[in-house]
Amino acid sequence: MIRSLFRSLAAAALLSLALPSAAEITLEWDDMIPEGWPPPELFEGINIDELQDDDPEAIEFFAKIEQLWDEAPVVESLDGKRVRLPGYAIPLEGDSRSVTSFLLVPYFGACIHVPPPPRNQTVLVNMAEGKTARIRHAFFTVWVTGTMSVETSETDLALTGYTITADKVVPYEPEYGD
Amino acid sequence: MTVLSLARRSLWNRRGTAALVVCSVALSVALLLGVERLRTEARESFANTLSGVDLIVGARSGPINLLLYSVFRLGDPINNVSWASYERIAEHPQVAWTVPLSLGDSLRGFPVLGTTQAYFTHYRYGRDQSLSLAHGEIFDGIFDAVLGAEVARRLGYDLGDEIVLAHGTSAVSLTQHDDKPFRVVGVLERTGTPVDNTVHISLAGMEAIHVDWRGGAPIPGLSISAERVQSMDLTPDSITAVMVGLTSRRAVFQVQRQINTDRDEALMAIMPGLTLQQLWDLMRVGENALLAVSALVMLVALTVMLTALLTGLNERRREMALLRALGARPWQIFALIIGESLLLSILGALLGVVLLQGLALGASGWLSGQLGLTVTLWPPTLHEMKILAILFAGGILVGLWPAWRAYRNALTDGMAIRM
Amino acid sequence: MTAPVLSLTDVTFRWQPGLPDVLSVPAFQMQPGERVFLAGPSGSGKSTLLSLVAGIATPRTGHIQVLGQPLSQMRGSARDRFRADQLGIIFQMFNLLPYLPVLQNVLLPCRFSRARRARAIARDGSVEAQARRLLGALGLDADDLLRRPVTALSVGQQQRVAAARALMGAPALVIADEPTSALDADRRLEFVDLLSSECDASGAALLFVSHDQTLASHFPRRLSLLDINQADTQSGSEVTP
Repeated sequence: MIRSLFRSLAAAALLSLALPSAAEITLEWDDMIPEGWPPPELFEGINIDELQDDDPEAIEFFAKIEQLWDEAPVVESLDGKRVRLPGYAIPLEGDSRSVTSFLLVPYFGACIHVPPPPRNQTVLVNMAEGKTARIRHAFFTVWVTGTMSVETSETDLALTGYTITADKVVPYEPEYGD
Repeated sequence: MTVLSLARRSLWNRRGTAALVVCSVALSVALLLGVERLRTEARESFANTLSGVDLIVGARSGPINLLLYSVFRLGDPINNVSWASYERIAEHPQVAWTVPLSLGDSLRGFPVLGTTQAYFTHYRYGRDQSLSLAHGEIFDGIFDAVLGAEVARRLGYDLGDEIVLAHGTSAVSLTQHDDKPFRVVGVLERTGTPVDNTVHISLAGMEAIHVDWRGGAPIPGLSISAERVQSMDLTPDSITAVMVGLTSRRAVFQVQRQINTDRDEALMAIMPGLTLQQLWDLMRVGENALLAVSALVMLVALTVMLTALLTGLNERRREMALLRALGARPWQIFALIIGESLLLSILGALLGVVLLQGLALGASGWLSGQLGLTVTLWPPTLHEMKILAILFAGGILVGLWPAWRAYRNALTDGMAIRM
Repeated sequence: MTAPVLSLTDVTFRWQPGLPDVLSVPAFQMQPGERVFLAGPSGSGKSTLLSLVAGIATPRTGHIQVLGQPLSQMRGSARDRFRADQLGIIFQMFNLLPYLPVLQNVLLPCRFSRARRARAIARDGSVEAQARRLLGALGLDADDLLRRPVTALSVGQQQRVAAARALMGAPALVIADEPTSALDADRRLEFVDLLSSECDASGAALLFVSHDQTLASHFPRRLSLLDINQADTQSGSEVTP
C-alpha cells in the first residue's frame, strides 16, 4: 500500500515537472471547437479530392463553408482561463522586433484553394501592457501563453471569437512523447 | 602606467603608419555601424508608418507593390479600383470605415494624394498616433490642399499660398494643371512618415483637375474652367486604393478572401502588418549580405593592423632588447604590443563614430526628403556597443601574435646588438 | 671583509646542448665600488659573460652571485626585478629609445624599479633632479638638450646619456659593453674618465669590457678574458644562435 502510494506520488511529481506551470492549460486547436461542429451533414455526398476549383458544385460548397465558418460557435468555458497555445503568427501591429498584436492560426498560408480558418480557429492575440513579441518572419510558429477571453455577441457575429492577452510568446519547439 | 605611456609614444613615433591603420579601422567601423543603424532605423521607421488599418484594397497586382505605392508612395499602380467596387466594400457589413486614396499627381516632386476628410481621422501611425495640424484646417472646398510638414518646409509654403499641381509623379513635369490652382489651407505636424512628403487634396479636387483630360493629357479644344467645375458631379470613376477598417480584427481573413475572390473586378486586399513582414523577409537576404560585407571590411582593417604591427617588429627588436636590459619584464614587452593594438583600435573606433555622425548629418536631409526616413545616430545602442566590443576584442587578438613574437625575441636576444 | 658585489664560481656556459662550452670561469670576483677593465678580442665571449652577469642568460653549471644574491638560481622574473633594481647597462651603440626625449630615456630605470626610484628621490629629492645632475656631471646640461629627441644628438652625446641612465638610482654594478668603440679616438678617454668619476661618486662598481688597450691604464684593475675564461675560444663563438 505504501509502495503504490509512493509510486503515484512519484508519478505526480514527474508529471508536474514535465508539464509547464500547473496553472496553464496547453490547448490544442480542437479544444476550441465545440462538440458536434461542423455538422457532419455538410460533407455528405461531397468528395473533396475529386472537386475541381472551377466546378460549380465546388464553388457552391466553398460558399457554404465560408458562411458556416463565419458562424462558427465558440467554447465559452475557456473564458478567463490561463492557456498555452501554439500556432502560426500573423503580425498586425508593430514591427517584427516588437509586435503588439497578431493573429494566431492553426495552418499556414492564405492561398486561394483553402478557405481561411473559421472564427473558432482564429485567435486574436494582444500583448500585455508593456510587452512585445518577436515574430521573426511571416507565419512564424510560436507558443503563446496568456489569459483567454471569449466574446460572444448575439447581434454582430463579427464580434464573436477568442482573444488572448499574452505575456509570453516564444518560438515553437515541438514537444514529443506527450 | 608605464607600458601604456610607452605604447602611446611608440605609436606617435611611427605616426604615419599608425594614422593609416587608424583610418582603415575608422572606415570599417563607420561602414559597419552605419549599415546596422540604417537597417534597424529604416525597419522601425517603415513599421511605424501605418497603424490601425486592417486591410488595404487595390487592383490585383502584387501585395508588396500595393503596400509600397499606397502607403509609402513608392512605385506606381498599374490599375485602379472602380468606384462601384469601392461603394460595395464600404457597404460590407463587417467594414467599419473606409478611406479612398487617389494617387498620380505631384507637386514639384512630392506626391499628391486625393482622399476624403476621413483620412485625417482614421490614419494612424507609430503607436496609434493620429495626424494633427500645425496650422490651419483640413480641406473643405474643392481646391483646398493640406501639406505634409516636409513639403511645407522644403518648398517654403504657408497658409494661403497658391500651388499648381503637375500631372505624373516625376520631379519635373511638363504637363501642369495650371488652370486650376489650389490653395494651402492646412499644414500637418511632422510625423516621420511619408505623410510629411505628401500633398493632400480632396477626391473632388483630384477629379476636378482631370475632368478635361483623357489618357494623361488635356483634351485639345476642351477646357473647363475652375468655376464651371464647381457645379459638376465630381465623383471619381475609379480610385487607386482603399484603406479599410473592420468591425472586428478577427473578420479580416473572411473579408480579405471575399474581396480577393470578387467576381466583378480583379481586386486584391492585403493585411498591411503581414505584407510589411513579408517585405522585411524579402529584404533580409540583402541585409545579411550587406552585413557580411561590412564584417569582411572590418576583418580587412584588422589585417592591416596586424601587418603594420608585424612589419614593425624587426626594426624594434633592438628596442625590445634594450627594454629588457633596463629591467622590463617579458610580460611588459608583451603588453606593450597589445597596448599598441588596443590603442589603435580605440582611436579607430572613435574616429569611425565621428565619421559616421558627420555622414549622417550630411545625409539626413536627403533621407527624410526622399524616403521619409528619420535616422538618429546618437546615442549608440546596446547592439552597437557590442559591435565595438567585438572590434576591441579583435584588436587585442590581432596584437597577440606580434606580442608573442616580441616576447620570445626579448627572451632570446641577450646582450647582442641586432640591427 | 665586505661581501663581493659580484662573484662567479665554476661557471660554464654554452649556447646549445651539443656545442662546446663558450665560457668556463672557475672564479671571478669584484668588490663593491671596484672598477675593472676586462680586455679581449671580439668573439672571445665578452658579451656572453655580460649576459650572465646581467641575469639575462643562466649558466650551465656554477653560481653567480650579485650583492650576495644567488642570481643564477633565481627564476626569470626575480632576475628581471633584480636587474631593474641593481644593474646599469651601457651598450656599444643604439642605447636609447628613439621615441622618447633625452630626459625620459634617462628616467627609464626608475620606471621599472621602485627601489631605484626611491633611492634617487632620497639622494636628490626627485628623479628629474638626479637625472639633470648626472647629465650635468657628464657634460650635458643644456636645457634644450634634455627635451630634444635622441636622434638630434651625436654618438658621443648619446653614449653619455646612456651612462647617466645606467647610474640612475645608484645601482650596485654598472656593466659597460664596448661603450667607446663608436666614439672618436680623442673622445674615448674623456668618456672613460667621466664615467669612472661618476661611478666613484655614486659607489657603483664598474665592469668595463673593451678591446681598446689604450683605455686600460685608467683602471685600477685590468685583466683579460683569457685570464679568467678557460674555455677554448677557438671553437666557441660570440654569435648567438
